[in-house]
Amino acid sequence: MSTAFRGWLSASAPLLAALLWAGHAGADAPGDKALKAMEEAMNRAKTQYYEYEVVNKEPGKDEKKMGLKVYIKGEKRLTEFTAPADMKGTKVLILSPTQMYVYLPAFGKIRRIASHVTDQGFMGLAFSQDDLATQAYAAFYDAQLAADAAAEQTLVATAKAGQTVPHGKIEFKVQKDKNLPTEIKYYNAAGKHVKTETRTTYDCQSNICSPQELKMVDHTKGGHWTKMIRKAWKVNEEMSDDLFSKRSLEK
Amino acid sequence: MQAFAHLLVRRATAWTIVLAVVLLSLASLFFASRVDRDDDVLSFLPRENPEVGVFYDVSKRFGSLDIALVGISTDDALSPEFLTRLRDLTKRLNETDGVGYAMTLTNMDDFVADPQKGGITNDYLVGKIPETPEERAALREKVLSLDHVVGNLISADGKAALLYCFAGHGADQKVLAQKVRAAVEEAFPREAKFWGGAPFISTYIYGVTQDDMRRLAPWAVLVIVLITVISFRDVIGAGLALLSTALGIVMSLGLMGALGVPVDVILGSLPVILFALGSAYAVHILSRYYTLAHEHDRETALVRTICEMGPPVLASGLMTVAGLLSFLLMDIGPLRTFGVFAAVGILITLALSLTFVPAVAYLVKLKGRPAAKGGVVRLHEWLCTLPQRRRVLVGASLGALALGSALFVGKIESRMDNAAFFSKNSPPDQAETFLRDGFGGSLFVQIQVEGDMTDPVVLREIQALADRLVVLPHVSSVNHVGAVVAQINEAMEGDRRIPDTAAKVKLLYGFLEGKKAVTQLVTDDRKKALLQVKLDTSVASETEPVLERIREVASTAITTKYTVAEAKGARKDEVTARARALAAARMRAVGKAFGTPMPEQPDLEARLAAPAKADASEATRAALTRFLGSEECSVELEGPEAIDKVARALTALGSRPDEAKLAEAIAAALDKPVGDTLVTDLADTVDRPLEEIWRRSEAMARAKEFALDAKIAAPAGLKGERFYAAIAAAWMDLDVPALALPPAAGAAGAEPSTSGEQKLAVAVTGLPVMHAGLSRSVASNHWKSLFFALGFVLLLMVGLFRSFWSGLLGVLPIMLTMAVIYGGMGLLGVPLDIGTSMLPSLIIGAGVDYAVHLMVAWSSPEKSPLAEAATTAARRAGPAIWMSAWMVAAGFFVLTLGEARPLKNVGGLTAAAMVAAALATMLVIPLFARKTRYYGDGTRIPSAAPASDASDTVLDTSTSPSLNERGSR
Repeated sequence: MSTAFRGWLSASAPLLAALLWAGHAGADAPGDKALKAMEEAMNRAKTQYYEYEVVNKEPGKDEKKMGLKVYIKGEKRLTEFTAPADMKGTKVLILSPTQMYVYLPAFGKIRRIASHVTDQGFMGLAFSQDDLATQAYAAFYDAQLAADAAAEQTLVATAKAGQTVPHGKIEFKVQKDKNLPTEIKYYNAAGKHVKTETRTTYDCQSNICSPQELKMVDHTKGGHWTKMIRKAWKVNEEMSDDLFSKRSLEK
Repeated sequence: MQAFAHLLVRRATAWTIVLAVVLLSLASLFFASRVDRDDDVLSFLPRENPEVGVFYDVSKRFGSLDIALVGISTDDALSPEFLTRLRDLTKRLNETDGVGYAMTLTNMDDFVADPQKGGITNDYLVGKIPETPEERAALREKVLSLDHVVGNLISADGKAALLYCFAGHGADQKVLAQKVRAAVEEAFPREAKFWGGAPFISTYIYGVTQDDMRRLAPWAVLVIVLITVISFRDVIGAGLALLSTALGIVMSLGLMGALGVPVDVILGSLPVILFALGSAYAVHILSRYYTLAHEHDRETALVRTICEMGPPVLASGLMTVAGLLSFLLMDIGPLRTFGVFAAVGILITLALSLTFVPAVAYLVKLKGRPAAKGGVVRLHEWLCTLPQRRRVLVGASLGALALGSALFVGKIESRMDNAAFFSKNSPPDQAETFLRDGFGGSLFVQIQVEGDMTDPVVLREIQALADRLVVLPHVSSVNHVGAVVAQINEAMEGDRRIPDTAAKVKLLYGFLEGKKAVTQLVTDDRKKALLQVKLDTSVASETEPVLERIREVASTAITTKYTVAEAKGARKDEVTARARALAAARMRAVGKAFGTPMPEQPDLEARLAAPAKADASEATRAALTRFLGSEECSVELEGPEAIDKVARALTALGSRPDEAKLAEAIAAALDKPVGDTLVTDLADTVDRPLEEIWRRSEAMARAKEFALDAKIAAPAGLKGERFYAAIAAAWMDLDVPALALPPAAGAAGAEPSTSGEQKLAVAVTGLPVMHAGLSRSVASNHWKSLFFALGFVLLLMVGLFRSFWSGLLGVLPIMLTMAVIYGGMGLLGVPLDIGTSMLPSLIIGAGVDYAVHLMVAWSSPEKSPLAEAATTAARRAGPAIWMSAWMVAAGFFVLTLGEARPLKNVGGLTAAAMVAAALATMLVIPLFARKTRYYGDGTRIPSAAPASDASDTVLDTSTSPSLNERGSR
């Protein structure tokens, strides 16, 4: 073996090892810790109230807009449509991932829907129910710290063995001062990058922060995107449990 | 011409020409490599044709041609192993760029009522792959009971599954087809697969044509090269003739590349057609030059060649160009483009044969082989003089042939169907058979309805039209937006029927947002809807009568001018009668969907008018009990006893109690005051459900009573339950609050704004309609092209020979040729389609060349027998005519060995036409010729170079001294 080659190998060995390790799906302690920290920062609020303008753009079609009011308390979530006019007054109460009650004003009644179809975009949006509902990652994913810069770190989360999760791999770019994601790349089970979500312009009330805009781009659908622009946001205000009851849907 | 000829035989001029051609060729090669391909099948549609125009608009609007279909045949499409692979494939395709949406059994939404907790469970139709035999049996029963799934996603025997792939926005059809095919092949390597839908069919047509061209073009060129080499017996000369043609092709393609014109299926055949048509000019020039070069120095030989052959070559070339330019009269864009570029290609090869070929011949001192001697020319002479020797026999034979052909010409059909585009047993044909056998067909008639699709009154009209259509023979199913709205209404309201208010319909549309399958049925603005009528046949002789019936029904079943009439308004009797008619039609359609024979329409209407006998109170009470105990009821009652009491109390009130009575009944049942919160909350909650439950229970009771009375054998099991639910839903439609009725007699003349009159526009389209429109276009294009080309050629002939009768004589062989070819088409049942409609200009273009050259060569001294002129013409022009005919025939005949149906037809017929044209030229012109010379008087030949009567080609093997002597005088 020539001296030059030995020299090259010696200098390259750490790099090669790093490259090989980068391809390994296993977790590392700093990665898991960072993922837990992010999850904790995302779920600090006891209650939250949002008003959103939702803009949806499918390739080749005009933009469509919707208006939403969202009340969140723990796992419960009540969404009320304020626009378009056809949907106004429609309310969706989610008590668990598969327990959903829909109040349809035109029908004047509540419909219980036990939905198991949560991995598709609903009402034509690029967000799936899973995308919007998932707030917990650490229990389902092992994370690896792929990059760590001064202001931002990159976490690569891969599904834990035996877990059924909507995405095979998720890559987070986390804003270090807030421990919150600014970009989330979703990969399918085969490792193909299928969607990208960006969360921009965080502002905070106390130690609870929320992005002013969320945007999801579906790369498999010709760049179909949906933007959720926050119009109002209240944190930790009193929300009665009655608000999240079937009876309140009819009122 | 003389000045031009003398200019050419200067060294500097010759070099300039060669250099210019080389530079142009290099530039053309560069641009030719940039020619894009275009396999958009819609570009072949003549949009000016009203039927085709509607089809084009509808296809674009609803994306009807953007669906790739893959049928997969297996032993059991519901086996866990098959379903697992199908689910993985569906998921993979849905994550593939360019695929808008992929749908199979495994990701079809399914809504199932939850009898315990209330409401519905929404899951994929195959939410979980079955593991146990019981789970497998349950899944099989569920899937095969769904009438909207069987025949659409799975065959009735469960042995075939269908995959629908909707193209993403702007996706290239070929790329989509490739991606889908690759994924399916990987997932199902062993199963038989069938590729249908426009992306696969257009890719197949384009691919098979290009494959044929790639595979066969070298053979066609080889055959032409061999014929040229054998004829010339000189490789350099043959090479030069072929090189000039090849350069003409490269330059034409280069021009296409420079102008950004993409190559399509038709333009893909341009090289072979140009090779076949364009090589004749260089052949004529070189063969004449070879003869002269052995008698004179090369300058003189070249000058004489150009002076003698230039005008006829130019004239015949221009006639070919005229024939091709007649394509400009066609209303099919790609054919017009083909005509222009083929004409440009011919002009280039013509120019090269008169400049580049002589220039190279001059520079390389080409001499060629001396004239060969043999029996071929004697055969030509025998043939050309036969009409003089056996005038009556030849005349009678040709007359009989023309008459016989004319009889069969009338049998040519311009009817078009898929068989015009692909052969029997080709992959698209196999897919068509598979879809017909397992999925009720692959051919759709589409009916576009314009109106407000959020208005339930309009949706009911669409439903009514669909119900009338589906019971027609050969109609296997009708899909429409009304059915989709009814399906989502079943999920939200519990009944599979169109809801009664616009607010409900609009709300339901919100839940259908983004569903690709829905965009095939209604536009985003809800102003236009499409009914997809599936036919179980694709044979034109069967589809055309069905189409007529469909048109008839479409014009009568739907109220195109209407006012909305309230069920309780002034026209309530008319509304009731119309509601009965619609419900009866609905029931007959349900019967067809479930394979259950139903009574005739009048009988059903009479049964619907009969008063109800069945008591629904017990069913109502049971349903109310279920509702009050379910999670869907927002007020919780304590224990089954309280629930039972309230259910009994509410049932006793009937379907629409007033508010006060409702509260009183609940209060009494619960033993609480009327003002109690529980009582008021419950009264508020059960108000609408009570009405719905009563209505549903009564309808179901009447449905079962009706089936019993009419002795209808309902299907067993889950399918039977769905059958009764569908009949009950039809019964519920008797109580619709409003329907569309024609404007009342008094309002007929009033302004629409005051009478409330509204309109629905109905247009019948789809492939069978488009085929019919295309057939008319093709026939019209064909005749326009034929008359233009023939008229233009006649004019040029008259100009060339300076006599109308001489011009007419020159056109006669082509006319006979066309009569024979069209007679043959009629006899063999070859239809007139896009490909064969190109024949007139090709036959005229190539065939006229022979007549021109024979008539130019027709020459004998004044008052000599015409047989002498015929012999001279046969000796001088015969070999070149036959050589050219065999070259063109061989070139086109090779195309018949491929798979592309249009190419096979055009190739075979053109090959036959070339031989027929050569034969007709050698017989018809001598038969009707009355002059000893038709062209020129020798003054065009330079005095320094006396006119030569020697054979026009080295194939001249004449040994007749007398004729040669006479000819050289």
